[in-house]
Amino acid sequence: MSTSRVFWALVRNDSRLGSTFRFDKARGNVSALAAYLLAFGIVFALGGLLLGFGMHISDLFAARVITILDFLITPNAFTITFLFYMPFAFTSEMLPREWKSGTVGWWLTLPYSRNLLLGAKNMAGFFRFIKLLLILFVTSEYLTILIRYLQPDVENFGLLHDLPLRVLYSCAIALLLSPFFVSMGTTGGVLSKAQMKGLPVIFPALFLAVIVGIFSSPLRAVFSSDAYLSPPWLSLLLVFGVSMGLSTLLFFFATNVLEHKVEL
Amino acid sequence: MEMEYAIELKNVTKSYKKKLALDRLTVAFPTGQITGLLGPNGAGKSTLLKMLVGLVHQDEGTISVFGQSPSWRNNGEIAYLPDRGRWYALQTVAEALAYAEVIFPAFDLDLARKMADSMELDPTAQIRTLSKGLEARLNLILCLARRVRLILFDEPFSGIDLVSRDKITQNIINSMFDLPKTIIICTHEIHEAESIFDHVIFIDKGQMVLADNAEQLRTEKGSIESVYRGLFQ
Repeated sequence: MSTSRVFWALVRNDSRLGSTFRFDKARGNVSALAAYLLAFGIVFALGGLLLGFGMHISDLFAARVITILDFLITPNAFTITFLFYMPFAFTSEMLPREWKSGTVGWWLTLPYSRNLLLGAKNMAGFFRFIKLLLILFVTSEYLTILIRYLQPDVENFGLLHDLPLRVLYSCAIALLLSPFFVSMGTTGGVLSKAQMKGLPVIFPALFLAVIVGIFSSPLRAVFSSDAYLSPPWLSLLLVFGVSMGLSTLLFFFATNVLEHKVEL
Repeated sequence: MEMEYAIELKNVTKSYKKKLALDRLTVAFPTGQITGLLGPNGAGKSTLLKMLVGLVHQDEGTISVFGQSPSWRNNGEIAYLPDRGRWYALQTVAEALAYAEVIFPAFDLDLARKMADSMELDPTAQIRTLSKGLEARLNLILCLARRVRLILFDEPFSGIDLVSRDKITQNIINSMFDLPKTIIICTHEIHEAESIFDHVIFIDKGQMVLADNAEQLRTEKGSIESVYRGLFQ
């Protein structure tokens, strides 16, 4: 049996398992995702469709569309925090989902290393996050192009000037940090099922500590509003290195806990 | 002739906080036979099966499964049907079998398809649309179509209709003809299952109460069910 074949089969199944979570209305992280996508969808639907069909809309309305779009997709405290949170939310839900759907007995007795099982969950969460980034990127580009060509005389048209580049830059930062937040999510999921007192409580504190740590260090340069004009490559590389390093540590910690401290 | 044992537990103890699930349990399961593991609720049956596949770790004592300590590393030789276990709801029956072929070592897809056909499972049906009985049949196939040395069934008949129970029982018997293996069935539905047991082990409060050849017990006491009533009523 090829291990890579097993791994990708697990990834595909975990991706489908994740898709059932959109029906789970009680989950807070789903509400956050829903709120963000809803805001984006309203902007897209109202602005994009009206403009797309060549209907006349007021300059004021177009200006509002641009302002909201600018807020939702360019680097700021809200979007960056949100983009940190999504990979965490995707993977933290995946493991408890095995318990909730009654499939955990099959999953945990699979004769493969815990690295393989959790690695597949990480990969599935990462792919879902990439999908989200792609949706954000494509829809924002589409709307920008429509406004740019159909309503070029609104007051804040200047905001659209570098929008494609800014969106790309935001997505790149989110992508560089995603390994860490993906592993955070998986580890959180494992700890929530482990027979270990205390750790699940201090885990959210660690999450916040990393965010505060990044923003209070020189690495914050990567989040400055004009960083996209001249990307701080060294800082970006460091951010990626920190993300990968912490992700690896968390991953091995999580697999260890899963093997020795999680019982059914 | 001396009996060979696939599984041996010696002085195994397991507690969940203050509740003692297994209390210095010493028991052995014969190789190549169907053993019924019987006892009232909370006797420790499910805990015992979980220990054999490494889902639960003992506090004390030793466990040997084909000469090795239980761990996910040895689960390639074991098929385990968890109590109240469900399969992935968004898959169809055909997808479930194809997925099982990839993730379960020694899964015989052709055999699984034949069993699905004989058990009247529609390959295009999504698992979340299956009745409890049909889902139980699928779960059984996911275990029986694996060419393994040991199969553990935790309550395979729980909450399902009579027709499904008969089909499950018949398929377990057929699988023993195809490829002899060690099977342990933990169940409350003694009446339906007792005819297929070669060996029975009764446990209560985490300790073994009785272990014997099923045929001998049937000859002496009439039925396994009557032995059960005698022990626990």
